[in-house]
Order: sequence, then structure tokens, then C-alpha cells
Amino acid sequence: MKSDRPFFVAFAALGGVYVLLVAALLLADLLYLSPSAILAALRDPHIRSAVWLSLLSSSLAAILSVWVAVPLGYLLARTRFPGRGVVEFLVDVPIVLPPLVVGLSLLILFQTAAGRWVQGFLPVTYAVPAVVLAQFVVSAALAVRTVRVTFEQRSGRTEDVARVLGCTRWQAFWRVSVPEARRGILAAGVLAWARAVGEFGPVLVFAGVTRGRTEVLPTAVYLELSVGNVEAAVAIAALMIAASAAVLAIMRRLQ
Amino acid sequence: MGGTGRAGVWAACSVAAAVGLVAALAVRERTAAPADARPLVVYAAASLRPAFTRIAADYEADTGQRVELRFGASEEMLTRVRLPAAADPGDLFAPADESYVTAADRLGLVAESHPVARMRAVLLLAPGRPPVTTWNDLASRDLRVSLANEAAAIGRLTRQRLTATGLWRELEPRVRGAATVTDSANAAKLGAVDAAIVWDAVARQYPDQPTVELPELAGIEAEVRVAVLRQSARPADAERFLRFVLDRERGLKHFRDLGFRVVE
Repeated sequence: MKSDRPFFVAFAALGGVYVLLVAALLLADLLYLSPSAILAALRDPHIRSAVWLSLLSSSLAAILSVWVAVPLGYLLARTRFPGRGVVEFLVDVPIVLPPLVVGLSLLILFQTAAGRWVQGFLPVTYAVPAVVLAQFVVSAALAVRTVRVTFEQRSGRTEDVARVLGCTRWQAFWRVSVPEARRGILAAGVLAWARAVGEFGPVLVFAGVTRGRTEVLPTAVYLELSVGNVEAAVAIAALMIAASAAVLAIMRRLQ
Repeated sequence: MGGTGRAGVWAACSVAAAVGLVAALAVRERTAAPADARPLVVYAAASLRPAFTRIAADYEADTGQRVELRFGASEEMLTRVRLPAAADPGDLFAPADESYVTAADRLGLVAESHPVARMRAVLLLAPGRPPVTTWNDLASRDLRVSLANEAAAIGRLTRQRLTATGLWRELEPRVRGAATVTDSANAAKLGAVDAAIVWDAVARQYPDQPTVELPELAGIEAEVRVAVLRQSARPADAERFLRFVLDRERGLKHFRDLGFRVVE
């Protein structure tokens, strides 16, 4: 039998290019970083506020994404219904659209009669709900794709067996389908959170940048760059990377 | 729907977490924006943040009225002013240069506007590069020059001026486009280009880099204007803030301290 070595070397070389590129990006940021800029960023009340808002809003957007992704992903994977193609297309739209267009579309939506009616009860545009909604729209699309693939990889036979043994549709779903898809659902949540925390375009257009109110970490980076403070922008980016690494490590442990 | 098992416990936990997060965000929102009185809303270019942050703090201390500064790129601020939320109109508009005020005025959005500062185009050099002192230095060496696109006033006015003087053909092959004037300046700061054509007020935010005033760029000028918006629900208060900005010992003082050539 011939050696497997050339196969693995070729694959490692191809995959390694991307891994090295990302590592180089982080290293370049690290070399540009000064401890004083990080300390200044941590001391800045606006940046601290942006850190908290990013963590809270992204977590809420990720949970909402999973709530939507599980039923929708299940239906798309297990059932055939009229208009399924249209639903598939609509779910993919937020991924395909340029992020700024997503933000602009949300802004226009909330200027319609229905949008104004909603805002009569809950101010959305340029407020915190706009941050969560902007993050949710894009991250939910990724979560739906992930959950759908997870359910598609399962045959559904165990669910059928559970039903033959007397389970209702609800019981079969909760006791068989969801536990089987647990890892995929968690992966969807992680992906949704990661996307939400880095979301910039839709948040910028739909929620704006009001310091201490709707400013999240990506918009804080943008504000610093717009006054030429590259050092502060890189310091905030480092905080983002650290926060994201911590949350992703926790989520991986849960998986 | 009985018997959801462990998955049901996870689902219940996610509901509890979502409720907790909504509560935390609501508390934060209430602290950040007390419901007592609506603040004056100022849409300002991100590049004017240092000046307006200081002015708003002084104004709040002076009058007790809250000022909410909303920052962004000028073109995006213009979009927001065009699409105001019914219950959340803007009061003032302070983009990076006068062209956006003119555009807003054409759309019937401006009640009144006044110039605050004048800016002229200069060459901002990347750190550690050989000095450029004349146009010939710029044109003869193989230098990369960043210039904002034509949507930004500096990009449009520079192209117009240099085309009129016949110099654009020399510069064009060296130009690397950027979205905004600050993107140009940041490209020079990081050394991605050798120089950037930017406003003098922007160049002053990069004190570690040499700035050159080239005669060939003379006449490329723009104003920073602040406008009171027609949509303002509190035009008298908006007017009062505008007067505060225009006061040479108050608002203009901050612009002057930050290196702007103020209009007195």
C-alpha cells in the first residue's frame, strides 16, 4: 500500500494557506497594537458601553435566530410544500444582499405605515431594538442554513419509529429530532452569534451610531477610523477578538 | 405537547436567557436615554466627532438640555435626514463638507445653514517617506496617491480643478481611490500609499505625518456648514444650539483648537 503522506501533505498545504492568512492578520494587528491604546480603550466609557451592547445584543440575536432556525430548518429539510422554492430564496436573501442594503431596507420598512404603527409602541430605528433586529436578520439566515443541513443529514427514521411507538409529532420532535440535531443547533447558535457580533453595515444604517446608546464594537472601530485613530481602532478590534474567543470557547465546550 | 424531555429544558433556558437579555437591554436603554425630555438630535459627520463631542458637553452644562450626537459618513447622514422616523426627527445636520448641506437644501430639508470652518486641500505624506515639496516631486516619482472618490467633495473638487489646469492626466495613473477623505488619510498613515490629498482640517488629525501645501492644489476649498433641519420638532432649541456652535468663544473655539480655520 502506497503512503498516505502525499495526500495529507497536499491537503494540509492547501488548507494551511488560509489558516496562515488568518494567523498573519491577527499577528499584524498584534504588532500594530500598543498596550497604552488597549488601556485607553478599556478606560473609555463609550467603548465599555459598546462592549456590553455588543455582547448583549449579539446573544439576543443569536437566541432569536435559533428559535427561527429550528422550525424553519426542520420544515425545509423534512417537508415539501407549495412555495418552498420561494421560501428558500427569501431565507438566502439577507446573505446575498450587500450589508448596507439590508440596513437601508430595514430603514425603509420602518417608514411604511406598518412600520410606523410598530414604532408607535416600540421605537426601533436608531435605538437598541434596531441593533438587535439588524444583527438578527443576517445571522438568522445563516442559522437556518446550518440547522436545515443538520436535519437533512438525519434520515428521520428514528422519528418515524418514535411515532409508531406512540409518540405524538411534538413528542417525537422534542425527544428524538432535537436531541439528534443538538450539535447542529448549537453550531447554528455559535455561527449566528459570531456573525451578529461582527455585523457592521446594517447596524450602521439602521441603528446609527449614537455614542453610549447604539454604538457596538464594529461601529466603535469605524468611529475611531473616521478621525484617523488607527491605534484605537486596532485596540477595539483586539477587544472584539478576545471577547469573541472567550464566548466561542464556552460554546464549543457546550457542544 | 407534554414530554419535551431535556430538549425542552434547553428551550426553556433559552426563553429565560432571552427574557433576561431583553430586560438588561431595556435597563441600559433607560439609563442611556432617560424618558424625561427628548434631546436635541444632531446628525454629524464622524470626522467632526471631536469638535461636536466637546461642544455638546459644554452646551449641556450651560443649558441643561441634552444633546444626542449621531455620527456616520456624510452621505449616510443625508439618507437618515431624508428618512426620519416620525417620532424621532433630526434637529441639526453637520456633514463633513458643504456639498451635503447643498444636497439636503435641494431636497427641501434645510431651514437655515451657516459656515463654521473652511478647509483647503493639502498633501498628507506617509510616515518615513522621502520628502515631497513640489508637484514635480509628486509627478516625476512613481508615487501612489490616495484620493477620495467623487461622491466626497475633496474627490470631486480635486478632479475638477486638476482637469481644468491640465494636471489630472499626470496624477491619474498614480491615484488610488478611497471611499472617504479619512480613508485616504488612513491609507497614508498605514503606508499603503505614499501620500493622500486631504483637507487641511483632516491632516491635522495626523500630527506625526508631514503635510505639504502645493500651489497646484490652491483653490480646492470647501466649507463645513451646520444646518437646522425643517423636520425639527424644536426649531427654537435647534437655533439656540446653532448659535452656540457659531459663538467664537464657545463652539468655534473648539473647532479652532482642533486646527480648523474657523469662519468668524
